[in-house]
Amino acid sequence: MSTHGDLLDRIPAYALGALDGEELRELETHLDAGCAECDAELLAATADLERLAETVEPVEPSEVTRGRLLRQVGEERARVGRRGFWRAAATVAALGLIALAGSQHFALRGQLAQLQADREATSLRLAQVREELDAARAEVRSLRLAASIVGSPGRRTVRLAGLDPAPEAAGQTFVDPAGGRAVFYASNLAPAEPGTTYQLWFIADGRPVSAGIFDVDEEGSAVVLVEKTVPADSIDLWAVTIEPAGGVPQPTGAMVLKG
Amino acid sequence: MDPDQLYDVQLIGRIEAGDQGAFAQLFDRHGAVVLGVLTRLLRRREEAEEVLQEAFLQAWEQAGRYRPRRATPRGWLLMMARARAIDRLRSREARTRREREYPAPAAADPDAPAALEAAERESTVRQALGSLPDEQRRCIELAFYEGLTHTGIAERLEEPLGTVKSRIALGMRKLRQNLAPLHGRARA
Repeated sequence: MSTHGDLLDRIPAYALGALDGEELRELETHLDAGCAECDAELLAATADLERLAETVEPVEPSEVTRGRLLRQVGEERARVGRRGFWRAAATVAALGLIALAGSQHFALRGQLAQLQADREATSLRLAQVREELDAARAEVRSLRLAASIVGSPGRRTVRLAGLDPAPEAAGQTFVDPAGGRAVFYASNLAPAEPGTTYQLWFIADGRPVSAGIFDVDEEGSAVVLVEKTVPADSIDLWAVTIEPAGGVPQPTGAMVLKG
Repeated sequence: MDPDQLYDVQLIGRIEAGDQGAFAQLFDRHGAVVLGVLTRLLRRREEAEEVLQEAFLQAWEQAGRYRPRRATPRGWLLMMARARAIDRLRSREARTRREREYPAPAAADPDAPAALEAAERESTVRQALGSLPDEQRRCIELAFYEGLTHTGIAERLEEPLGTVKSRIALGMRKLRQNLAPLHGRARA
């Protein structure tokens, strides 16, 4: 049985992946049980790991890997969604059986079911509120960054015109040549059809590079922050296409904006 | 946590809620750094891409288990990815013990130019590691770059296990101090 000091000392090796056997199991059990001191040490050790990782040359993943992964995640999401449906169906069936039994406990069980339903609804609402809060925070950050790009000295502006599927649509891209970042605004776009998304591209040296996927708000507007571009001079064109949900490595669908 | 890390924490929260766009962003922000580390560990680009895919799929499935107080977002991804790569290295080693005695030469790496650049960047960490006693530095390098465990390092260096453990613990603490100036550096 190790002392707390032993476990604490073991954390840097744990972050490096150098533990195995009983030492690993013991530490993981301790971490799962909750220990603020060990959590803080692990947080620092993962920051060390990040710094070590910065000393290795990054390798850009292939578009094949990216596309395959995003497809897998899309399939996984659909599968879990179906599982959720069957679970809900099972709950409905179970409640139906309780009703059919018509026992003297019927009223009590009905109340219990109602309470459970209320609790589930409350949990769901709580999750929705958390999600909305996260989204709002992310949006504030994006808007701040967007404002800094639009206001940066020497920024380039590119106007995108609506094409045949959406002639009334318009777009504008501001590129910060120093920071390698860009912000894209779209307006007058219809909401993407179910199962599809809008995808922003820039074409540099004749090759399209995905700059992110987006959907529009109720007014048909969208803001996309592009974290990493190539030098502004090598971008020949910006474009928006309609693609399958989750986006694709190379453009396949109709082009709605170009400039 | 810096603003980038806070943004990543929010992305992971959105991934937990099933947001595929947030997942794509997380991949685009960290995929290259994680793949760099995996390629360095496994020395086989194709296998490294496979592990990258597995690790990010794990991140998608286990986003709800991420705790910001316990790991930085990129550190969390790196730990998951490295654990998978290290498992592969161990089964590779189990298949052929020869690799331990005759490590693959760098020239056999299909990404030779990338390997060269990696070697240059390695010099940065060597600088940061420079003030560590040699024996501590060697233990950390064997763990980070070659994915060896405490036991593996003890066998390789023919040192007692307890000695190796304390060298890693002490070395990592000192390394944290030595690498502190790199902390605020812009991310790759």
